[in-house]
Amino acid sequence: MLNLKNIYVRNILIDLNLTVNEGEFVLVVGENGAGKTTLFNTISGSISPSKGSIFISEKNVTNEPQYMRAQLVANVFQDPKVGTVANMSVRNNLNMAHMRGKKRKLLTQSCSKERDDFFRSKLYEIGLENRLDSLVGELSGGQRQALSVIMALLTDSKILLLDEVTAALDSENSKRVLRIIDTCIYKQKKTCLMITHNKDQINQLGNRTLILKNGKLISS
Amino acid sequence: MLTLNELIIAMEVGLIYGILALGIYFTFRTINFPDLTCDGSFVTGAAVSSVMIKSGLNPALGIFFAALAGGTAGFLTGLINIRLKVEDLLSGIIVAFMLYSINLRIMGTKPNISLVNESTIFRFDNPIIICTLIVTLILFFIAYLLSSDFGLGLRAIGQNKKFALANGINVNAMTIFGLIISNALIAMCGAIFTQYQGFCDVSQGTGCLVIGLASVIIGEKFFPKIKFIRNLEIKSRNFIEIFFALFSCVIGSIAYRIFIAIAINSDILGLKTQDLNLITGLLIIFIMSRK
Repeated sequence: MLNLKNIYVRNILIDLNLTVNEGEFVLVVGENGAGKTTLFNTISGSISPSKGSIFISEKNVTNEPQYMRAQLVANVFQDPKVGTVANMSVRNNLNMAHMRGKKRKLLTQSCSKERDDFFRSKLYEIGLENRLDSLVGELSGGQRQALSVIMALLTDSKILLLDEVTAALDSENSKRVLRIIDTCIYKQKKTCLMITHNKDQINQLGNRTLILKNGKLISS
Repeated sequence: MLTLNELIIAMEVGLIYGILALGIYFTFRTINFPDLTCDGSFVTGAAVSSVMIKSGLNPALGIFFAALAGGTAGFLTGLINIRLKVEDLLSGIIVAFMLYSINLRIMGTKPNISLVNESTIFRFDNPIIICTLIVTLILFFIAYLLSSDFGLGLRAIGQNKKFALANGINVNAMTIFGLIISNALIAMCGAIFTQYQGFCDVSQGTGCLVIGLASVIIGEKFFPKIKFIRNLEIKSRNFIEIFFALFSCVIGSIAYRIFIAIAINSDILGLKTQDLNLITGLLIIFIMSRK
């Protein structure tokens, strides 16, 4: 469960209160500058609120830095270039996501056959099972965003934040990525928040829709 | 005309400076931090090692303590950059600047120390064998480090900090760790080079960064990427790929020294030792302009 109490961030978010239950899929909508991305950055820990508290599964994480909160919160960014590393192989990108929230040991080698088998089974869902050795920069935008989604769903993080994940995709890839997200949320019972401007998505997806305006929640 | 002896000396110096190239590779390529501490930490290593040898301590122990001192310099640069929010370039420059005074203090306020007739690591065997042994050990250590889960995190911060943070990497701590390792290697190079040449000078670190960068660039441009290992098991393949990427820095360092030796000893070109910086600069421009 995600619980935000009286969150205040530099006049962008003003005394915001929000509760999202476990397994809920919530859409976040609002005009440009309404504070949607700031809300996500506050939940993920890249922005610290000057006032208020954030609870994830009843644990107060307000003062936890982003790298520590990564164990609980997974992100998919609007731009797949941010969520992946172009100069690294698909395998190493997945390795990074696989170790999210775990202790990265000096003596454990990052590549192994077991991990490769696991990654292939996940990549099968997006048709990239034979591209483990490819550089991420060689993938198309859609493939790269689909990979970002797979990476975000690789660990058992409680919260999944999707920031306009389909904005850069064509309709076919957009449908494919949303299908993966929907299936995984249903299977893994993740709490999910998704920013969108797409009217079809607003009508089709999610348990409820939050409307943000000038940093305030005007409708839930 | 370059003699065989001059060629061997160029190879030996190239091998020693290969450690410097590895240090530079660590900051500039792995964690993507433009660290200018190296001009100072190179001399810190040389000074610590020389003073310890002069005090009658084991020269190998001198190299170990030189690495510790260099690592401390890297730690300071990281701390100034991350905790005090001073820009990366400037924090390195400030530490290198301060290290000049510290190095003089380590050397007992003398600008140079002679190690003639002192015991060094080159006492027992051929320098090329000793240098090869040390460089190989360092290469294995760094390749193992970078191919681990921890090392993958280090490599990620150099590529995309936002991505690294979102995947649970403590970017600040990793940056400081990278700077410690890099400057420890550079100081180790300074210590070994001082023992090799038989004296330590407070200004011998000038231009280290350019030499290190030149070596890394030459290695990257001319050493072929490893493609013949596709059939190997993935764990070994990952290690070998990283090992050869690092090895290319050492090869680059040796190639750089041989090129400089050829240029300076070439009667036709009429170049002299004082033209070293000019040749180095022109060499870097030539290599970097190649597509």
